Amino acid sequence: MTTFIEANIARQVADLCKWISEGSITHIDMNMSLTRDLSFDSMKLMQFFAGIEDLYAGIALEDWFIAHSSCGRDTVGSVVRFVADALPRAAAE
Amino acid sequence: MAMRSATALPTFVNLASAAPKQIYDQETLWDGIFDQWYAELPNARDLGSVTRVNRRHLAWNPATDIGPETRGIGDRMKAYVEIVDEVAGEAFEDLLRPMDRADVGSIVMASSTGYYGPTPDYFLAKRFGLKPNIRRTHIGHMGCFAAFNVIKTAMDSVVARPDEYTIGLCAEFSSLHFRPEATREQAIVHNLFGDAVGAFTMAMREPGHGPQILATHTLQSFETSDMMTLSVMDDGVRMTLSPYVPFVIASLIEQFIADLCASAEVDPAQIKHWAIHPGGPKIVDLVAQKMNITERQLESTWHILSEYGNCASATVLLVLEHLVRNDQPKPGEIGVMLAFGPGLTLEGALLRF
Repeated sequence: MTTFIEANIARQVADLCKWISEGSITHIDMNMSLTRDLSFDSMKLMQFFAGIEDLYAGIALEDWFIAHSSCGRDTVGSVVRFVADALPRAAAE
Repeated sequence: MAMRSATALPTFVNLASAAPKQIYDQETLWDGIFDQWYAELPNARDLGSVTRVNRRHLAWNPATDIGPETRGIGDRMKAYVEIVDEVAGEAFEDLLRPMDRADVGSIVMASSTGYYGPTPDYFLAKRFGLKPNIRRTHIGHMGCFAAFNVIKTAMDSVVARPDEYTIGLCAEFSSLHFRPEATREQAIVHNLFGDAVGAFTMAMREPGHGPQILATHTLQSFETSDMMTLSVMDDGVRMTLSPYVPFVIASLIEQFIADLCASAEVDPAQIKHWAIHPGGPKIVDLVAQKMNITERQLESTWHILSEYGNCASATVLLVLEHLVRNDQPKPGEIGVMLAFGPGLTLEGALLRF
């Protein structure tokens, strides 16, 4: 079940993806891969990682991309779940 | 592996390089063929500059040797047999000039861009009159970090037989594998890779005879195996390169350098010279950012990327050769060589000049 917090994160991450895509993508689906579907290159991935760090202080995506960067598993939804799981830990620290 | 107390250590007593005579700048390649190959890709021509490559030495001109249609793997391997003998021979000759050939006990060679047997080192040994009992090792298809497999095999060789010299050689001709596949990933690969041979002579020496190897270190990231791959197709070897590669390397590099230095009891703050395999500009940028490496310290790395492109396993040897000539490290100064490749795999060596 999607929580209110997770839905909020999903909206913010989708907005970030649209901004990085410079308007070329208008609809973001949670199953979309950042590299395969949104065609993010390393420059755009860098903007994405920086954007996540700006939105959520203390969250770095290193563990996420080690685990999810292969075989199209780098979905928008996987980022949302990672951030939702990591936020309470980051807040506690 | 660390060489803790010994004063005589495996040492690069000579470095040499060579490349195909044909040189192409990015604009010529785009005008000649890439505009046709990548016509479907939006803003494709920008890819010519994002790689920070200005010109490359290429065995094959993609416009005339490949053209709008592709070519089979057999044609490509025939071309490899000819070019490897010519270009590797040039580097080999430079290495042999100052020494007695009878003292060369082993040859270690790596390549990920050609296949035939007997392997090229056999023909080089024959052509240059090396002794018939020379030990030969050929390391195939490990990718851009294979210079370290050559270096480590050469180290074993000179440690085991300290009176002999070992010649190490990395020969890569990626232009023989360019293919007209219209994807951004392949366009980047074809705008990044170039051809060259990097070579060295190694021997056990006391300080003052060339860069000594204090330690080597290897790290395999077992979760990221499909980030960089080499696959044999009917029309050449296809390389893939995930845009996540620079970030994974950057996330691992600090601990990697700490481990490399710790094995030789060297403080990482002592590292003055960096010879980094420029797998792509973002890799160099992020490694430099993590390790606080200055632009001045990156001059040789950027120079080789700009003037030769990513020459796979040969690249880090070209960078080291340029660094020794350009930076003229003082005796006792510490340096690091780094390369990355399929796995992802990180390889490094700690040097004392």
